[in-house]
Amino acid sequence: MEKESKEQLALIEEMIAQSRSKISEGSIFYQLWGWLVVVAASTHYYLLNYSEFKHHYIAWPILMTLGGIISMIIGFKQEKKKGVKTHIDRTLSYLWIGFTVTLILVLISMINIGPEGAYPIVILLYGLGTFVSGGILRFKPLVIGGAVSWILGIAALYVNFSDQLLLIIAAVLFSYILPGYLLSKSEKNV
Amino acid sequence: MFKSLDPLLHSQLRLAIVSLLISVESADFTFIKEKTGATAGNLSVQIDKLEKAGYIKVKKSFKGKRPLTTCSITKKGSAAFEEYVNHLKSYIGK
Repeated sequence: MEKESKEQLALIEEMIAQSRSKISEGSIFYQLWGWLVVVAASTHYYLLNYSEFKHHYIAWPILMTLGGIISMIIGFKQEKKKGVKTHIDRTLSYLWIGFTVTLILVLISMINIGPEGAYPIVILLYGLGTFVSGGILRFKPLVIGGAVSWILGIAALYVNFSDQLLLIIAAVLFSYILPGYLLSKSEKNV
Repeated sequence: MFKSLDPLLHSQLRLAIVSLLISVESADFTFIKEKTGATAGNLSVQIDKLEKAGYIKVKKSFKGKRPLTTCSITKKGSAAFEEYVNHLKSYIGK
């Protein structure tokens, strides 16, 4: 009986290990959003400072909508391929849904507080998103990247709007693009 | 005194299914089949038994034109699994 019990316990352990080997394939999202924000913020910076174009913010709504559509397609395809939804997947999806809703509300609040009031909050939010994801995935570069965004978010309170755009670029570089790249490398090594 | 082991879980394949589901939110039929190495026929019979006992929840939908069976553990199944593991441990004498 003891031998049989040990065999059963070994089977349980093996199955639990099997289900854990599927780690979240999230690095693509960090890189996608990171680069979209870099392009949007750079375009905004250029149009604001070096052109007469009235709608200098135009790249944001276009690229962010595009990002949303691409993310949904990738997410749908990944879920279909994986065949399993882990507790980590659910926790992360709630985090990013919450992040998106808060982000939209902050963007709406621009009507009252102006873009220079809203952008530092956006940078702080970037920090929150990656910091928490890093903790959930036990991936330090994301945690550190998140903390960097918090510092840049506070710094953004003390500069003009044009420079805030440069800080946003720096924030996504450290919080999304770089950790996203490192995450993709670690996924390949699994 | 030996405690009686839950006959529903005291089968290699059914225990494997429940152990897989205990650590995830949900998993589809193909994933479970791949991880347990069971045949499709045997697997659907065992899934059916576990569902009837209320240990797992089975959702049937479609992925494109192909049917998709998604399984997840219930509270009852989770409690039964915990009890089963405790009983196993008592046999080993831990």
